[in-house]
Amino acid sequence: MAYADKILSGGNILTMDQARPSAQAVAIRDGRIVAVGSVADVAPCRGPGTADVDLDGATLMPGFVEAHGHPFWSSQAWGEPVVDIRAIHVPTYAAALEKMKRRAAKARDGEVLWFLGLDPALHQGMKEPTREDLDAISARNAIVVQTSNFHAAFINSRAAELFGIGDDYQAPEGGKVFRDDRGRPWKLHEMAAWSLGERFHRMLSADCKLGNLDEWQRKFVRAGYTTSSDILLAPGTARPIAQALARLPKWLRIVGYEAMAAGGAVSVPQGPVTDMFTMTGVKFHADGSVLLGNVWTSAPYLNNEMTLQGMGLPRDSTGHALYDFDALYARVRRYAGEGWQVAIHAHGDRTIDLALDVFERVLRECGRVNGPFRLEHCGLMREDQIDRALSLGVVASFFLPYIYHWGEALRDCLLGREAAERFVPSGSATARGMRVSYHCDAPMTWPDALKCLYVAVTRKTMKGAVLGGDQRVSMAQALRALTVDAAYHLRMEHEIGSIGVGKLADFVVLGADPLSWDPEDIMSLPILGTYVGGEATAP
Amino acid sequence: MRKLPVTLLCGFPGSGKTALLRRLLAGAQAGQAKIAALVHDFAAVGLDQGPVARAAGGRVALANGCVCCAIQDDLVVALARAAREADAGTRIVVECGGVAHPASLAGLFGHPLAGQMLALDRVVCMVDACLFPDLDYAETELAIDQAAMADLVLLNKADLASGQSLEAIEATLLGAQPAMRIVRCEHGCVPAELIVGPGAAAPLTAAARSAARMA
Repeated sequence: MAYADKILSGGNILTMDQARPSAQAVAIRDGRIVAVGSVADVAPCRGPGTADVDLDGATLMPGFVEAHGHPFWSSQAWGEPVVDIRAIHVPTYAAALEKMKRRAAKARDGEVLWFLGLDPALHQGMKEPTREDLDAISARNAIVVQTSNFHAAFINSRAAELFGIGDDYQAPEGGKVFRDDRGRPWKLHEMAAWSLGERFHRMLSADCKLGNLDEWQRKFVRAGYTTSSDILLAPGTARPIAQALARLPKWLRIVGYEAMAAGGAVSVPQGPVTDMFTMTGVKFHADGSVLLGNVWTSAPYLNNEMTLQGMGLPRDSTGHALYDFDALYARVRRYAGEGWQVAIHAHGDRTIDLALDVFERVLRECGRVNGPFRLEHCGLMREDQIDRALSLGVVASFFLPYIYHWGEALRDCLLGREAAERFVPSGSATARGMRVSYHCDAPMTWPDALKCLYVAVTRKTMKGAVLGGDQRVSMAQALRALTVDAAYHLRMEHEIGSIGVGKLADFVVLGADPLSWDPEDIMSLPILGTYVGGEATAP
Repeated sequence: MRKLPVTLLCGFPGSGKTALLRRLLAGAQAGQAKIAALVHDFAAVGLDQGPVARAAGGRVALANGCVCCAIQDDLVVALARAAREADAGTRIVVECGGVAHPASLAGLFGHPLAGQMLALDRVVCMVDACLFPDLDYAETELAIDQAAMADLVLLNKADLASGQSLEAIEATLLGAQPAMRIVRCEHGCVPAELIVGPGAAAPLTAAARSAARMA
């Protein structure tokens, strides 16, 4: 028989395989698991060239899987030379303006200044910056200020000029433009803001962009992830991104989904593009951001200074969807029919109704699809919608760090206590038997598997408030959502997500067993490293 | 077990951290608060002037139970060792590398090795009133980030800057963090109580810990 390249033992191995939950040793050959079990079970794999790796008491698990991430977009959004003005570092709106002024004062001629992280829910004293406000910061340099949820961007006059956003500007499909009382565009939503970002990014050097991507891959690896989706690839970018990643160390597998709002063919065939990048699906935004007010809900937003002035919403706003049934149905029908997995961004409960209506009809017509169909974020998903999704085989990926970062804002300023307590109801979905996943949605929040676990088992915010204690799950349940069930969402369960013979040798090494670590303190569980394809990473 | 309190002392090179630490240690030897100092380069602290006993492993033991420990490569290990060896009632003072972001250091207190024995309750930042106006953009932002996460900012060398310049620096710093507490000083002379006296768990420090996960 062929001997193992290496055998890992001397620690605690959590396999996430229900047939054999724990093991003493795992043997690897050519990047895959060839044996797992007791020390005696793997002993026959040991040959003269087999290396022994002593886990030294650590806990080995399947590497964490980010079901809904954007590594490439994150590198683009937060990489050099973007200026970070998030409230976590710059707490007030006035302080954010001061930071912008300091940057503008040092700007070179022709430099485009891009600020990211404005947050009506977290920046105290926030108001939306007008053309005049931003022109006062610089008339000489183009300024773009993007919200922390990425869905909106504000521009000054120089940016309008540079990017050709004149008074007659029309937003691209999936985007929206807002004009001031002089008819000048000052705020761009979604595709309008994102296409501006694409143009800004194209101005950067190739070295700068690759360096940013390298840094973001490391962020995922340091957080214990071995696979992430990249679930909003601009049409046509799958291959260049896969090729850029191929120039970096092989530390993170990527599962790609292109955003096909505008129609057309997906730019690469389904399946592997490189050995680290697999194309699997398409993604649609059926609504927007809870923090921006453009999700479609049955219960209205609260009426207060934050919603009315900070976010510019009308009174009793219930938001809207970005598609009607026919438009969304036509798209899902087409791509599902072509064999693509379909994921739909849906936060508001009425948007989730719409998405489930579409999924139901497509499933009825197609019979069998390359599923599971996915619902993304699912902030305001109702109990009856969880049941309906289950009956259709649709899965939900929950954006749990939302509770941690914006929990108080949801409760006190945006939606009220009742909605906030049920926000991202992963506990209900798990209790009913759905295979759920959790995600950090980088670039919205940083890749942080332990933060997902913390919110899942405590439902606590950063400030310590508990939101929806009845949505808590056990640590064992939570770990599934970051490993084997997330792998199922990505159609990768045959390759990753648990430690079993034949699967890829992708692991995270933890300082202790998360099942016996204090759940309240789970974020301080040491992440000692990862293995991808049997090789230790070094981020 | 009662956790030992920790002060993080940050600020740019030359801003006066070492001089301040030297004064704190001198005060400690004179019978004030008991201190264990962790510094990058203890030769610079000038410990040889006092009654000190050198020990193995880059440590210097001072009279009154104070210790000075050179931070070599792993701050967590140094912190854990300091915590194990320090007497009850000792305050640990960590002098950060000049260009360290305090968020990354605050994050270390979430580490089980350090976090079980130590409680970071204060971040003190020194700003050099002479050098600050001449920093470039990136340096300015780092200096401001350091100050914005501190519970106390010492605007040092105030005697060497004009009143107008001091006011401009204060306006810039307060623009970044309106709740910032700034004390002007000369030669790092402030009551030791401000740095090593009893402190309460400070909300900014908790914020710094959260920020560290998003840096």
